[in-house]
Amino acid sequence: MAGDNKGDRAKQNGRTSSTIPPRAAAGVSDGLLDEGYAWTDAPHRPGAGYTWSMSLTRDDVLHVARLARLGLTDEEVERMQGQLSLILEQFETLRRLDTEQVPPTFQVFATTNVFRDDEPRPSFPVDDVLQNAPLREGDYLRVRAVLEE
Amino acid sequence: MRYEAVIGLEVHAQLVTKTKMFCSCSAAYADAPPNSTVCPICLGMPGTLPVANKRAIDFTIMTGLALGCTIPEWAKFDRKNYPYPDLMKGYQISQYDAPLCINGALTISLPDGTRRRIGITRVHLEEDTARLLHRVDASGEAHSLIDVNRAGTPLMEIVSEPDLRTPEEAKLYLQKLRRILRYLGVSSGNMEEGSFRCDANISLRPVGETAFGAKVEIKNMNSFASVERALEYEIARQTDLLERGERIPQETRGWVEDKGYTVGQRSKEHAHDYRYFPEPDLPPVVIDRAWVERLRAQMPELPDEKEQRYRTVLGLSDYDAKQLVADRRTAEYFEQALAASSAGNGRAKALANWIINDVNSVLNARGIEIDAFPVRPEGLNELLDLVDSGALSVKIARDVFARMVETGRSATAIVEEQGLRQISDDTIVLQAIDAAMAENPKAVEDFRAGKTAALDFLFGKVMKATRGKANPQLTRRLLSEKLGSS
Repeated sequence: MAGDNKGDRAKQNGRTSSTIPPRAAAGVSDGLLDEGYAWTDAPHRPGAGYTWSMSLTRDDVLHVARLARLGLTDEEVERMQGQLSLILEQFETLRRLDTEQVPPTFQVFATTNVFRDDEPRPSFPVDDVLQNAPLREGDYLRVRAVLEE
Repeated sequence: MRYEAVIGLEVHAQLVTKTKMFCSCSAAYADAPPNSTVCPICLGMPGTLPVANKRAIDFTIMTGLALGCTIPEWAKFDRKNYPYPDLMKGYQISQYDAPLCINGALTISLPDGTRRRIGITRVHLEEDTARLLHRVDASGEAHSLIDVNRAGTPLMEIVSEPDLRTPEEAKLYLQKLRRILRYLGVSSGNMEEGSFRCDANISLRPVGETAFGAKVEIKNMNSFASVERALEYEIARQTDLLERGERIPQETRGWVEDKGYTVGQRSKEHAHDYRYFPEPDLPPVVIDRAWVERLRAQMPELPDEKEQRYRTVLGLSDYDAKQLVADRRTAEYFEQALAASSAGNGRAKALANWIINDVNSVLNARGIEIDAFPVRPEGLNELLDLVDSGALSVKIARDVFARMVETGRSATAIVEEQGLRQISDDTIVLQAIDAAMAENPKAVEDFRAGKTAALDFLFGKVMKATRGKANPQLTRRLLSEKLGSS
């Protein structure tokens, strides 16, 4: 097994640099995505595209908390501000490395093209599907009113 | 100042796969009881693993090929994060920066004959969301019900460049795109049922300006007509704002069909808030060229090619060719009839006429599709055999056709049963001519006195006496000979 893993890793390394090309070959160009999606030069590095510096502001934390739908106490906001800033600093350290010639890693597995045939299989009984629903109405999940989009 | 509109369209087309995009649940959600085509994967339960539907990927690549796209050698899926109860996982699996198809184009023809090339930015694959029903209960409390059946069904997104300039161009683009998807058999393209949805991005700028104005996104348009109307409304609204010196805010607006206007919706969350990142549960898709070529070989003849072939090979007019290819099944009907024809391609023009005029008028009157038309292509061809052989006049053939539509019986059976076979025997026609001349001596006199209209009168008498069965060309010829000679 250990041998296999090593083989996989070797294969993956070989593959990452050959069959999985860096951004350009993956069809990425600056014109590809509309304005709001514009790349910074480091799309998948942590913090890319965000405007904050390495030290997060209180507002940054509240913004992220809102996106995650988390309600934080003032004390938690302060704590998170410190902890999240530390994490970003770690990445800033990594960022000093010259990765110009290293293709981005999107996947840590060596596999590609794992597909399924288009053949239906039975779904779950509706009672199982709704088993964990906080609220149920008939065969529907019920939630608080959400605005019509 | 004169302004020009800059329009780009995003189309979401449901793919006609049997199963969902990442699990084996049935994708046929439309008639299924609520939450009956659901499993832990499309519910987004922890510990489950999505696996991509091969057919959905094939369909998307085929669409890209039909739109002249480049198919990159490599694509991947990404997570698009946003919180809304129609997303079971809190994110949608989509494709961000490495889609399956890029850089294509669709050429539309305007009514004045101008052709416009509309760029296709990308075609990518994602999953559809759950359906929300908004309710108010007896106590007056508003709530929403969730049906997860649709969640996870495959959705193909086709994004155009901002190359469209008028609402009419937008409509033509959508019609043409939908026809291609239907020819490929990848989507039903039904807009009212939501299988083919369109969002529009529109901005205005002074004519001659090259920079873009502020972009407004319009949603909730459920037909081609509403896309056209919504864009017309939006052009008027934005023109008015600009002329009053106001700034146009970048926003999302919803089209209100029955009121005929757009209203501002919640401000679009900044794109970065989607926090796209590569989907760790789905390995990348490596698309080798053999795969692409295999799909290319499976593609049917597309409407533009078909139209051209009808004109050049079959010698049909522009109009006929366009009419026949407008609907894939009509074109198939035509081709099946032509394949059955003993007269080969020589019958193309006649078949085209019958389908465009006679068949279509029955379809319109009955509100049915050609698949449900009672006369099958071979049957129509048989009717035309009888016309070509001289057994039926075109006039009587129309009556026979009507009987065929009514009864579903064959042309030959109807002709034999009702004794409708055309009389092309000189002797019998001459007998009828002699009788008509004997009974109408005045008409004969008139003709000889130079009143040529009297010939038509006598012709009518002959046709009446033979119940319309006398071969009209033969009758006319014999009648002129007879009147001229004696």
